[in-house]
Amino acid sequence: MTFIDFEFGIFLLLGVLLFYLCPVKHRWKILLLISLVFYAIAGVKYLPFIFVTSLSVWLGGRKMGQRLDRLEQELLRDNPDRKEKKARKEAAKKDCKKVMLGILVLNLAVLCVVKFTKFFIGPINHLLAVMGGSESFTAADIIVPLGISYYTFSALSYLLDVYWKRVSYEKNYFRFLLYLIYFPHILQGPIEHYGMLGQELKKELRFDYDRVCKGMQLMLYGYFKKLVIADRINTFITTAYGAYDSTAGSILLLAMFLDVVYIYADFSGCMDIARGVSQIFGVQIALNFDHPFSSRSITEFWRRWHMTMGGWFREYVYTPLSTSELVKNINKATRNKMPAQISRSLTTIIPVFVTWVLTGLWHGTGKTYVAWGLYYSVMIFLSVCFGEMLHDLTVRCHVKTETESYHLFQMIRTTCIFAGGRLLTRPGSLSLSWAILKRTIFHFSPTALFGKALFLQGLGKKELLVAAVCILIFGAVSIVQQRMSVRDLIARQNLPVRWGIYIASVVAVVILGVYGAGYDASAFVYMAY
Amino acid sequence: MEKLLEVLKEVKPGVDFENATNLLSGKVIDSIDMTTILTELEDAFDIEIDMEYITPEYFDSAQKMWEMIQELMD
Repeated sequence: MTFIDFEFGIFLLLGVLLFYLCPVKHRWKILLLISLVFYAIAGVKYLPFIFVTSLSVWLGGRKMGQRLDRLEQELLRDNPDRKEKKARKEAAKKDCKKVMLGILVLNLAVLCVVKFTKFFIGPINHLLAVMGGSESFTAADIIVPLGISYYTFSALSYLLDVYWKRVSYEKNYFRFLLYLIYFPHILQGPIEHYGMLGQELKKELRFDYDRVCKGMQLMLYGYFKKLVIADRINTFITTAYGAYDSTAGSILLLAMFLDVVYIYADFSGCMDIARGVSQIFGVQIALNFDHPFSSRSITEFWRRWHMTMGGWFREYVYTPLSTSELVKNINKATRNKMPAQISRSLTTIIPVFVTWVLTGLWHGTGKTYVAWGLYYSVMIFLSVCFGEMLHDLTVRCHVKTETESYHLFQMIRTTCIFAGGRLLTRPGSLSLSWAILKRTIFHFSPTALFGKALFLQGLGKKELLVAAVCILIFGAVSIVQQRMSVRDLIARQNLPVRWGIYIASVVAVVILGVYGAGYDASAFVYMAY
Repeated sequence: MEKLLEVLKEVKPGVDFENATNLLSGKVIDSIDMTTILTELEDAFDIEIDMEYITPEYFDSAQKMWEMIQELMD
């Protein structure tokens, strides 16, 4: 069951009723119950995985937290001298490190086995055959628990935050389990911090009419993005890429940029639904998108796109690496001994490449995702190392960088870089990506954009017109959102206007959503991760 | 405090370290500056700065850094 299934509507309605009929102090327990049921509906077989992660991390957090508390008490009681204090702190740190590393390795091992096993089915079957076994495995035999990448990262952020003393350990296991399994964020994130969501779930969750209404509005907008825009233009992209060798390059180029709109509408639509559902229950979850296509650079883009994943890698991979002894030594050895630009490049090269290749592998396994990781490693590396130099150059050339036109140029440049990254992963193999790129360049045929061929990509004239209008609405709303809350703006209008907008939105989703006989709405792209 | 300001100004000249209060959160210092600042502070004050301190809470202003250094030297 996903957010776009009819059953989800019934599930949510029953869940909301049960939640608000229950006394306030027990409502978090209802949320846990609802979340467990939601997860069990997806597959009871997934439950042991999330229990192993939640139990191991919670126990580890408790052990570390208790050790650190004991240290604090001992230091207060004994008031030792500086040397003794340092020794005791180091001993406690060492104990905690053992626990943290053990649990980190266990959970990363589970994640890697689950995500990477399908690529080793061939060799495993071969090995079994050599050993005389008669059984063999297929990809369908591998259990990939729902949301494993998301809940594992949320769990590890808690583990590391307790280790680094950024949050206090949670004493109640069920509270911690709720933080991980909370159903609005289990499908596609956001990847949360215990310091934020954990505390949010401890609030008194009371009914608030305005908040519930705003949650429903956000859900509606999410469905509009997903069902009306993303699923519609997906047909165009799939058709164009599917027959790329007989499609004009100009149409393939259009498909590449529509693919950018598609992934944005699909993923941010899902996040709007998740945040809207959560708001109905009175729980604020993290923002995952902040108008990424208004970014001036690709580094800024990744601070605005899938913010919680980018933040996770920055906080738990990039920063520990860039402040590690190895990188500090590189910095020390090169600073003041080499030109500043070279020293900066050498200092940042390891953290950037490791972080981005791992980010690629988080999204998926195989060559395409490694290539994707390397692609962004190079882009971010160039941006970090030569961004200042480029800025100086533009100033010397008397280019005004604060004008709207220059900002627009930067936005287009960022979008093109992102479209390039999508072209690496969307077609499914690097050879196909390369073939599409070659076809785009060498068989461009710009006139195809104005001829019949445009309407032969799975969408007729009317469908394309609907897509274009809806994309324009999506863009206009994004521009307004950067200046004010659209929901507040609507709420300020007179009743006929307000309700006119609500009804028109519902009608748009119901009528223009991509359904049809026997239609099965496409799953959200980021659910696959 | 003077020694700290001296170190900071050498790493990133042109920044108003005396008054700035958003050094890390406002991206006045980037990740590479951060690596350099850590290296220089550890050498200058003979301290070890663990990951738990690498947050805006400790690095957003010179005053906060100074308090962290004193805590680590204690």
